[in-house]
Amino acid sequence: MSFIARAIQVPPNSATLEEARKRTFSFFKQACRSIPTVMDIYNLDDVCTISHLRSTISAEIRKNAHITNPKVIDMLLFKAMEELNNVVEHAKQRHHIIGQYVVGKGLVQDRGTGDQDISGFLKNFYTSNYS
Amino acid sequence: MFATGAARLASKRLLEIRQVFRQSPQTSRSLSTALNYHLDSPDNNPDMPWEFSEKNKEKAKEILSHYPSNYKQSAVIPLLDLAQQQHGGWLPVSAMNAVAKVIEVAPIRVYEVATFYSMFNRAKVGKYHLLVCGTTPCMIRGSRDIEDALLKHLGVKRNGELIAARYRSCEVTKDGMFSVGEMECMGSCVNAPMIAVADYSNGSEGYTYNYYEDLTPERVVEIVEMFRKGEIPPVGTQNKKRIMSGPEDGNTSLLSDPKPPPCRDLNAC
Amino acid sequence: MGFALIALRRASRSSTSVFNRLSSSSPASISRVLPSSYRWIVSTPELQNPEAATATTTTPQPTQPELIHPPRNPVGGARVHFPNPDDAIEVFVDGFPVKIPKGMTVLQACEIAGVDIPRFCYHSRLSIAGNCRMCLVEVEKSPKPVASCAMPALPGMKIKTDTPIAKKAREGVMEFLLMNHPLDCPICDQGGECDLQDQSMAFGSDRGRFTDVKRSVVDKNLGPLVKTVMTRCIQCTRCVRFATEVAGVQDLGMLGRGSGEEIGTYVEKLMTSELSGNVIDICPVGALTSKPFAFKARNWELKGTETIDVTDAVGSNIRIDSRGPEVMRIIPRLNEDINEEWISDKTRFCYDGLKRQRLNDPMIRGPDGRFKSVSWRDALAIVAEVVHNVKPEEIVGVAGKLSDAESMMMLKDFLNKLGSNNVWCEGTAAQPCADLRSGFLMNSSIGGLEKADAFLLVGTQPRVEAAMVNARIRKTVKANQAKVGYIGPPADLNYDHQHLGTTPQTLLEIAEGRHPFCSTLLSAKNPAIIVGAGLFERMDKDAIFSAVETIAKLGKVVRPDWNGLNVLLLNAAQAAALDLGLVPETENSIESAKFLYLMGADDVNLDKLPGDAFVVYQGHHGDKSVYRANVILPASAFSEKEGIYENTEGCAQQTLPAVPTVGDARDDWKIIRALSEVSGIQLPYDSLGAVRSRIRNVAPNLLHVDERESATFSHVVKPEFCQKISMTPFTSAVENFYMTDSITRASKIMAQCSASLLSKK
Repeated sequence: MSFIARAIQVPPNSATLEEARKRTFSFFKQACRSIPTVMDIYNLDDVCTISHLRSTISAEIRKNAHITNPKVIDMLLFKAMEELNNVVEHAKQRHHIIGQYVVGKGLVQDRGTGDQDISGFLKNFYTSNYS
Repeated sequence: MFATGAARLASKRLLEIRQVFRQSPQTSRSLSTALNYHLDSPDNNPDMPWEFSEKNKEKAKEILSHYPSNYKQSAVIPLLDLAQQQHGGWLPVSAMNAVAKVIEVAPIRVYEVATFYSMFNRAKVGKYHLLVCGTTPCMIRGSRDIEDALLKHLGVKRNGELIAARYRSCEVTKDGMFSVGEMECMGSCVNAPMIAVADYSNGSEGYTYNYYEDLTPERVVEIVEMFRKGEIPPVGTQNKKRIMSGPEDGNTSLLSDPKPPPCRDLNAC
Repeated sequence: MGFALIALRRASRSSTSVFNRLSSSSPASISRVLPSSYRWIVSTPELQNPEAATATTTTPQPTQPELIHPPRNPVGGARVHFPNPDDAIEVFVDGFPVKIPKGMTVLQACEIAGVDIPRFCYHSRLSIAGNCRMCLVEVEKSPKPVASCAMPALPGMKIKTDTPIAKKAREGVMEFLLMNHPLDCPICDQGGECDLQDQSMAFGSDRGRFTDVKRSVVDKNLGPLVKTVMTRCIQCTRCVRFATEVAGVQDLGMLGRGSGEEIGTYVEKLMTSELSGNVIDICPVGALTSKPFAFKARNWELKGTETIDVTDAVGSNIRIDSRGPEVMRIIPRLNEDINEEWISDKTRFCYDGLKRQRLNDPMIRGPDGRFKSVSWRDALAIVAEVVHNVKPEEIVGVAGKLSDAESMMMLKDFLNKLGSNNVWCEGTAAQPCADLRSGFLMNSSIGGLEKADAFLLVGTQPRVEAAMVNARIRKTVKANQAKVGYIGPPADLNYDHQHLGTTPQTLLEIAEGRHPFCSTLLSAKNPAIIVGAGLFERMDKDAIFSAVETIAKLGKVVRPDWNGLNVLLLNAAQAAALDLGLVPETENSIESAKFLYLMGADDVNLDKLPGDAFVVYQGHHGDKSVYRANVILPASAFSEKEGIYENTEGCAQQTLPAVPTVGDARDDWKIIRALSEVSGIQLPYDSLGAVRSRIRNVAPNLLHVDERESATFSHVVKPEFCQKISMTPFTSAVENFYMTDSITRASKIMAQCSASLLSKK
C-alpha cells in the first residue's frame, strides 16, 4: 500500500470554496483521462462505454454537490483520489468495477418494480432464505 | 549449580539413549521368521495353488476327527503343522488359506494363529532348519559359540538380523539345505548347549524334529556336514561319556538300590 | 468422559471459587455437570505404598468422605432392566448398595451405581475381550485388582473403585499403554476426542519410566475411508471385534505376539464392509481415523447439529459437525430403536457431495440450450406463465427421494390447486394402496426384528438397500440362530442364508406350502417377512403381495402380538409421501405431460416424456434430471433445512439446519409457496408451522417426531385385484450401494468407494 500513499500527494487544505471547486474539476479531468486505461485493463468494452463511465463519475461527484465546507470537500477528494489510484493500479478486479460503477448505476436491474401487490412472504423470499 | 548438574545428567542420559539406538539391530533379536504382514512374492502369494497331498488329506481328516464337528477350528495348529511339513518347513499364504478352508473359518483367523507361534515359519527355511537354544543355561555353556560356528560354517545370517533382506526371512544356504534360527529354552538344560534340527527333507512322512545336545563348535559343524551327506547323526547327547542326561563317567550318586519306603509291619497285627 | 468435565474437575480442585460461583448460579446444573463420577485426582505420595495407605485410611475413620456422598446417577443414562425380579442381586460399589440383574459384569454394576470406570477394550455392543486392563478395580477379598469388564458381579461383592490400589493399578496400566504410544497428539486427528488422552489426564501418572525406543508399526491400507496410523494402536481389538461381530467381514485380525503385536489384514486387503466407517468411532485412540476428514478440523472447532440421515429409508440418527458454512463430518447418534450407534458408510461419508455440483442460482435454459442465471423473480414468472398455458391434466409433479414431508405437502397442494392430481414420490410410481399404512411400513419395527427367529427376504437385499436393517438382521441371526431365506438375484448377504430362488415361482411354491423353507417358517415362533420396495415398480406387484400375504397367513406372521410382515422402503421420502397420499392418479401420466415439476427427482425415467414438455427442476444438485430441465430452481439440501422425514418403520424424525444454504438457494417449501403466489393461486402457508398444521390434517403421525406410529389396520381390509404373477426374476433395487441419490452421486468419496470397493467384491 505504501506506493499508493506515496503517489497521492496530500495538498494543503483548500482555503476557499472556490479553490476546492477548482480541485474537484481537476480531479474530474484526471479521472476522465484515465478512463481509456481503465476500460483497457479491466476489459470493460463489452459492458459499457467511455461516456457511460464518465457520466458515472460525474454522478458520483454530483452526489456531493450540496457540500460547501472546503475541508469536507478536500477529504472527499482525497478519498476519490485514493479510489482512482486503486482502480488505475489494478488493485481491483473486474467484478468490483462492474459492480460499483457499471451495474446498478443506470444500466440494468429494475429491482423493486411491481413489488406493490406482493405478500410479505414473497418479498422476504426474494431477498434471502432467512427472513 | 543445580542447573548445570541437571544439564550434565540430561546429556549423559541422551548419550545412553543414543547408544541404545546405535545398538538396536543387535539388541532386538526377533524370534519370528518373518514380518507380521504379508508381501507378495513369486513363491508366496495368495494366487499360488496349494493343497494337501492325498496322504495328508487322510491325515487331516484323522486330525479333524479328534475334535467335535462344530469345533473344527480347534484343529488349526495341528493342520498348520502338517501343512508346514508338507511345504518344506514353511507356510506360504496359500497354505494358510487352504487350512482355513478345511476348518471353515475366515483366513484371518488362521493368519492370527500362524503369526502368533514362532515355530510356524512364514518365510522360506532350509531343508534342515537348525534352531539354536539361546536361553540362559545354554548361553552359559556356550550357545553363542555354537551359533557363531554354525553361521560361519554355513555362511548365513541368523533370523531377524537380516537388515538388507527385503522379506526379513531367515537366510538359507545357497543349496537350500540349511537355515539357522534361534529358539528359547527347549528343556534340555541338563545337556546344554543344544540345537534342535527340524528335518523337512522328506516331506511330512519323513519329518523329524531331533535334539542334538552337549555340543561343541566342532561337533556341530560335523553334524551339519553329516546332514549334508545325507546321514543322520546320532540323536541326543554328543558327549560319548554320557548316557542320555546322566552324568559324565557314570553315576556319582544314587549308586545303591533305592531304599523302599517305610512300611508298617504287616505281620504285627 | 469429556474434556470439559476433566477441565472442570481440575479447575474446581485448584480454586474453590470457581466451584462456588458455579454452584451459586445454578445448583441444579451443577449436579448435572458434576456428576457422581466426580473424583479428585490424587497426587502420588499415598500411591507409593498403597497397602499401607489402605490400612491407615480404612481402619480408624468411621466417617469417610465418600460415605457422605449422595447416591449417584447412572453413567450415561444406563438403565437397569430386570428380566426376572428374582434374579436381582445386590453389590456394593464404593460402599453404596446397588441392585443389578444376575449376570452383569462388575463394570456394568459400577455404571449403574454412577461410577465411570475407565476402559479401552470394553464396548457395550461388542464381545468382552478384557485385554486392555484399564478397568481394574479392587474387590474385597480378591488378592489382586480385577478387570471389571470381564468379571461377573456376584451377590454381596464389595467393589472399590476409588482406593489407592485401584488408582495405582490404573496408573500402572496407563504407563504401559503409553509406553509404545507415540507422542503425536498435536498431529493426531483424534486429539480432543481421544479416550487415551482423556483417561491419561484423569487416571494416568504425570511421568513415565520408559526410556527405551518406542516401537513403530507399518500402516495398513484399509481403503478410501479409514486412515490408519498403526503405531498409535493400543491393541484393544475393538475394531477386530466390530468387523467380525457387527460388520460381518472377517478381514481384520491381531497378528504377531508380544511387543510385535499389530492389528492388520495380513494380506493386502481393503475393508469391504458397508459399515467400515464405524471403526473410526470405536477406536479409542487415533489409530483408525477418517481419511476424508484427515487434518481438516479439530473437534472443538466444530458445531454439532443433531439431525437425521436421508440417504436411505432407515433415518439413522446423526450429528452433523460443521465449521462455518461447511459440513466437516457426520457421526452417528445413539438411537436404540433405529441405528443403535452405528451408521453406514454412505451416511457417514456422503457429506462431501454437499459441496460439489450444487445449484446456486435460478437458471433458465435459453434457446441455444445453455443455462443462464436469472433472478428468482424472472424464474418464477416464467414458470407461472407456463403453468397457466397447460391443461390441468397435463401437469405432473414428482417428489424426489430426499424430499421432506413439508415440501411434499406443498407440492401436492400446489398441483391439486392447479387441478392436477398426478403427483407422486419417485420409487412409488404405482403403489395404489397408500391408504393402509401396514402395506408399506416395516411393521415389526427395526428394533423388533431382533425378536424374529426366521426371515424371508423377498426381492430385497437389505445389505445395500438399508445397511442398518441388515446389521439388525445379522445381529438377530448371530444371537438367535435365526434362519434366513432369500428370494432374489444372487447377493452377498453377510450372514448365513438360504438362497431359495430368483423368481416369483419360489414365492408361489412357498405360498402353496410345497417348498422346504415352509417348515422353517411354520416352526418359527416369530417369523418375519421382508418385502423390498423395489417390487413397487413391478407390474405384478399386487399378485406378489397377495402371495406374500398368503405366506403370512400360512406362517402366522401377523398376530395380535407380533406383526412380521414388513416392507423395506428404499428412500427417505417414501414413507412420508405415501402417508401424505402422493400417489399418481394414472399410471402413465408422464407420457402425456406438458408440464413436469421435479422436486429433486433424479431417478425418474424421462425417456417417454414428450419433447415439448416443460420441465422445472427444483433441487440442490445438478444431477440426472437437470439435463432435461428448462428451469432450475435451487433448493437447500437436508443439512441446510428443517424438515420432517418418516423412516421405513413409520417413525417421524426431523432434520435441523446445520449449515446455511449455498448461493441463492431457498428451502423447498418456500419455493413452492412463492411460485404459488406468482402464479396467482396463493397457498395460505407463510411459515413452517402453517405447513405443519396442514400436515396435521392429512397425516398427524408425521408431527409426532421421534415416535413410531404403527399401522392400525392390517392387510385384512385390502381391496380385491386381478393380476397374474409374471415369472420375470426379481432384480436388485440398488445397483451401487455408494451412489443412490443426487448427494451421493456428487460425492468424490463415494465415487472412490464404488471404484475401489465394489470392483473387489
